[in-house]
Amino acid sequence: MNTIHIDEELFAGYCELSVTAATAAAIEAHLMSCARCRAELADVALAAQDGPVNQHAVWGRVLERVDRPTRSITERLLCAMRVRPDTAKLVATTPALRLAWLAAVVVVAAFAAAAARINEEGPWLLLVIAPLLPLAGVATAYGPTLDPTYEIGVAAPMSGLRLTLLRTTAVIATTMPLLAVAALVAPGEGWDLFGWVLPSFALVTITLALSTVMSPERAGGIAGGGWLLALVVLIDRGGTGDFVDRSLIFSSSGQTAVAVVAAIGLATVATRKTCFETMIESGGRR
Amino acid sequence: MSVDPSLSSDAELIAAIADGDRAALRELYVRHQPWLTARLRHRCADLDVVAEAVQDTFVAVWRGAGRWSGAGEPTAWIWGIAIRRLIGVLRHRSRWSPVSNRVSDASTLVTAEDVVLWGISHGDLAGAIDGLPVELRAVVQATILDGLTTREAGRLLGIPTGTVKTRMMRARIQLRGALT
Amino acid sequence: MNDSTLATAGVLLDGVTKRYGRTVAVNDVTLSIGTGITGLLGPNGAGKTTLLRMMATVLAPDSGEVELLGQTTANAPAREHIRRRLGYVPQEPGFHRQFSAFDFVDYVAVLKLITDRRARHDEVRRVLDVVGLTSVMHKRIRQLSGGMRRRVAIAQALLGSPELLVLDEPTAGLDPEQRLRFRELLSTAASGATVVLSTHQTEDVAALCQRVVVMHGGVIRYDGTPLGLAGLASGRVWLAATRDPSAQLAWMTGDGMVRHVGEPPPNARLDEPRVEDGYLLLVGATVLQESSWK
Repeated sequence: MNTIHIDEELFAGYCELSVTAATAAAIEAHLMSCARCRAELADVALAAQDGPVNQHAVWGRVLERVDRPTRSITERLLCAMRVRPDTAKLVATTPALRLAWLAAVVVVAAFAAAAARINEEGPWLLLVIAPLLPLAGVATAYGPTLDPTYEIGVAAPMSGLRLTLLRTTAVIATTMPLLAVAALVAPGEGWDLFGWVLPSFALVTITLALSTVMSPERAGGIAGGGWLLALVVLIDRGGTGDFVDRSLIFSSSGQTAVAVVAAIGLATVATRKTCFETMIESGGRR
Repeated sequence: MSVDPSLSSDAELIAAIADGDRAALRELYVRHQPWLTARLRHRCADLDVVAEAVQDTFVAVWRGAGRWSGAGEPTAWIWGIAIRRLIGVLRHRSRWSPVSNRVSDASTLVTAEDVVLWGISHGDLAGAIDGLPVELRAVVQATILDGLTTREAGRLLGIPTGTVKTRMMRARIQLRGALT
Repeated sequence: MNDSTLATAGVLLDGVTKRYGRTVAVNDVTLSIGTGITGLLGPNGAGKTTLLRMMATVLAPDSGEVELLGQTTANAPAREHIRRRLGYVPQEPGFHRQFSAFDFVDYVAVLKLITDRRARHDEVRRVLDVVGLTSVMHKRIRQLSGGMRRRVAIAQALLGSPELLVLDEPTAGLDPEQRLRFRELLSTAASGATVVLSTHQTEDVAALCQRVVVMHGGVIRYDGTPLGLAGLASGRVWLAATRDPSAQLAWMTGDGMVRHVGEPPPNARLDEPRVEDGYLLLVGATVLQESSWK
């Protein structure tokens, strides 16, 4: 079919816009199916180097746009929320910002809220579980075992504390609103349903404080274990009512104590902040 | 990876581009940029707009290579992107002075076979097409040869959709008249 | 060491010790390293990684002083200053799974505080070009071969043309051709900088390094030129027709002769020593134990 090819003169005419409309149409139709003539045209166009469009300049601009980092959905969302692109890039690698993680939080929170509806015992499950979710997110957000670029990051001039706090903020900002929705859906009265908020902050700051001497996963494990232990131990044994009523943690004085613990954690992080600038030694590792 | 991209077919190049192969994009650019530029110039007199559309086209190929089905002719796929990028650029600049007076075509209205076209390009039909008023020729070209919808054609030419339809009708009548 | 080398030293360790629990990983090491390529040899567990981590500001010593590029690593502002002029390839660099080579290097460039986006992207392109990855830089890292991943890891270390380059086993997992390419790349990319690399490959040391430091059991056992290390085995490498049953270390070579390192077997003739011979004599006992495990 492509036995007829276009000659150079005709191409020159086509490139200079000096052929008739019908001829141009014929050339175009032929070009669509003939690689040889497309190559021929390229030669003609190249010969007329001062031609209409500088192909090297255009290629340069194509590369400029192609050679940009791909931005993940998380990164684009963060940028849409007016986070600086650099910061978004650092935060977007946090495991707790992955869709799978957020989905898990939604499932757990929904389960706890549903349990509160079905169960006569009140929203105790939600109050017990909720603080563990931001804790888990923070404990997996950095550190030698879970951040694959951890060591390179430590050797870089970016402050380790800043990176850690950025990611912690991101975890809190995504997990806590989801939990708040669950609390609003759960039955029960007033502020009782938000008894998990202060403990969440306390567990996060304690995890950060402990991670100045151990790996964040281990710090998170200890903080979480401590939370469950405190729930079991700090209970008014002579009291009446359901678990939440009897628990000392969810009483107003208990909440004050939790706030104090959170403040202690924060103060520890502040005084030990240089520990974030060198490698966390997770005891026993080489 | 170590395969010389210049030995690959267009379809193979697009598949490699979908994997992030930059050398493949370069080769595709070398092959297709010249005729794309030439053809777009027949659609738009403003060289800056043409250059930007070509640039946009290859960026779109880079980003969209993964969505190419693998069926059909790569050249047609690239042209489909290019002509729409041209419309995009024109709309973006909201400058509607697009079509050069050298608008070609109408011939594929009758047949898309290039061989046949060659045969008749100096015959009656060619005369009939060349005899069409510029604005009618532009509509015929945009809808039939470039494969645009009436709406896209309207955007390219800077005229309302209704006008595209009426001009198309007038073009048909004139062509028929000239050929009988 | 004379004063002039001390003045230009990229790395200055003074009585540096680092312990993990009861294990002493690095024991009272004093060392000064200037511009050029220095190789760190030693069996597994010799303390190489710990020493390199301290040279990369990643770990702080328990005692002793680490000075890099003329500044102490003991306080935060000086450390940040050093880190801006430092490139580091850890032993097992990891990658976030969704990253392309470009994304990864760009991510590290953000960590390196190259804030201007255009300048940063230009720099990312430059280092990827240096390691020869331009055409595949937009591929996901997990699609790349092991050798290419190594090069990605090396590329990030070259960001900002650092004056101090610390590389922990950069040639591990590279095939012979890639190792040759790495040598070429390092000798051009690292000109004028202080480069310290650890390796198990004595050929790398012989081919690349102006200086070699052998570490064993947390202490330095040799510090000098590769030629000098080979020279340690001078007069102690023998070729014989048969294996001496009492030989400490002997193996059959390609030409059918049995090469002995150590005491001369009967009817043997002396052979030219190589870097590996000197190294084996220094750390022989451990290496032999290790190899008998396999």
